Amino acid sequence: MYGLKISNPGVDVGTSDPRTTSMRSDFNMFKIHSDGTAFGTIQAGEQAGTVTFTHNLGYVPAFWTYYIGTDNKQRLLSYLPEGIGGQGEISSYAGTDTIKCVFDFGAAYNQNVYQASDFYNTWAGGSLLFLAGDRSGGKDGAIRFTNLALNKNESVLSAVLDVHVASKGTNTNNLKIITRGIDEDNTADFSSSPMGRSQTAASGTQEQSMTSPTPFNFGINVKSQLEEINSRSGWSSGNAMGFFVINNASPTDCYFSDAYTESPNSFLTVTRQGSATFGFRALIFKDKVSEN
Amino acid sequence: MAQGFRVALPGKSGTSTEPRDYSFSSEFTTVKVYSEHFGTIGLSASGTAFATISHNLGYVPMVIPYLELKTNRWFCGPGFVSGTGLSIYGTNTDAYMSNQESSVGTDNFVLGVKNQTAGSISVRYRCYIMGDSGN
Amino acid sequence: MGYGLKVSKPGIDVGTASDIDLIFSSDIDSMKTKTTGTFSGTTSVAHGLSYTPAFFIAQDGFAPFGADPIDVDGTNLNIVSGTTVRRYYIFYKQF
Repeated sequence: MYGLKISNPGVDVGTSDPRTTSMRSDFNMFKIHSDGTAFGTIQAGEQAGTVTFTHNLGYVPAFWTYYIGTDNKQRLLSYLPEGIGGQGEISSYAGTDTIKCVFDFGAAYNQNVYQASDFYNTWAGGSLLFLAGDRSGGKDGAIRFTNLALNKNESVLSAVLDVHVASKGTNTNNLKIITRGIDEDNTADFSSSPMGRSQTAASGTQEQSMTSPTPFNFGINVKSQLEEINSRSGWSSGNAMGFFVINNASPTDCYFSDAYTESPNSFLTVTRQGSATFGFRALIFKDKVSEN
Repeated sequence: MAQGFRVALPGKSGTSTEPRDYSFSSEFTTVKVYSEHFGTIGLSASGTAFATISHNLGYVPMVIPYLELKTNRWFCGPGFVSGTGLSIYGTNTDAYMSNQESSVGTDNFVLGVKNQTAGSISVRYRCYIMGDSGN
Repeated sequence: MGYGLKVSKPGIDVGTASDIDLIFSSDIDSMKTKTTGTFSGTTSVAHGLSYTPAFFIAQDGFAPFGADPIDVDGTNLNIVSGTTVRRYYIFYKQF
């Protein structure tokens, strides 16, 4: 064999062991094409973010990537312990022109979804239904959520009451409602009627189309109501919060109804302020991975 | 450096003492590719398949596999980690490399790939068998 | 390339070889190993570099997946490992 061979210091170049050979002309070496560092941001409510390293080689190259944690330490991407990225996935992959690195939380970042703990309605006078609109006259409803992870005076990005309509009235004209918060520090359960409890000054007036076939969902913006409640002196994270949905002259037999036995039923989605930054480092080689 | 061979990178001095200034120096080992192998693994729906790549080095080498786990997306090794427990597959790929069913021995590398889809697929791979130790 | 050194792969004309077909070129950096070793258990390996370097880990051949943290910072390769023996490579490569 003709070629060039260089052994490690102190090692006889005549050795055939690749482990003690510095360079051999019949052994390729990974040749570095480029390297870089890039950071991305995931905003509250977003689930994933991607950073891109452009190589423009026109073929898929060999590469190594490293995830940069919030502690600024680099971790080889194919070896990352559970929990460093939180829930979700961290991955990187190559194409013919770029390396993409993805940080995926697996769920919307800084967003909490709360399942309703209590319903009430003035139609049946009971706690099995969440109902508002006109059903044998104007009827109102209330809904409660427990254990809210929300600091006192915290301003949120959004708060949406997601109403699950399991059944509705025969009138498909617009439902007309006003939504207010239950103005209490830590509103109690609905084992007795909550309808006499104080209401927030903050309110939302809404007309909602009822033409969709059941089941369907519609949203009510309750951000201002939520922030009035969590600004109360007695509010603390982990407290319970409730809302009234009040009929506002809906047409006859125009109402929504969600049964507590339905699954899934109505819930509250709160997106808190903030963002998460993630970083990757990529080492891109000239050596080809793809066949063509 | 007493005696040896080294080559500086463009714009760098051959008398520099900074290792990063050299494309190569006999003072340092360089990660070397002993052999590279390109292939395709056919997988039945939700199935597992293997490719065996011989190297006959007599020791366990470092192996760096790349797999096209989704069309036009090549991942390095498993390429990802899922935070929900010690799962080794991603939810966004058609297949994954199974660390638990892949192995490197003193004579060959067995690459195990699992299909996550309900249909049959083919997964292309390129494996670099390095001349350097893997254990 | 004005002056330099390059070595092509076997069977390839060095005068016309593309970068892919070269073993080595003085124009192109390579992964120069500063140190390699094996480890198990919890430890830190001082890499002695003034920067955070690239590294690679191999367990029974290929980069492992597991729950044990391994990371590098400006001073050390930090390892929390069980009884499994792994090999590390630290390179003269700064990002």
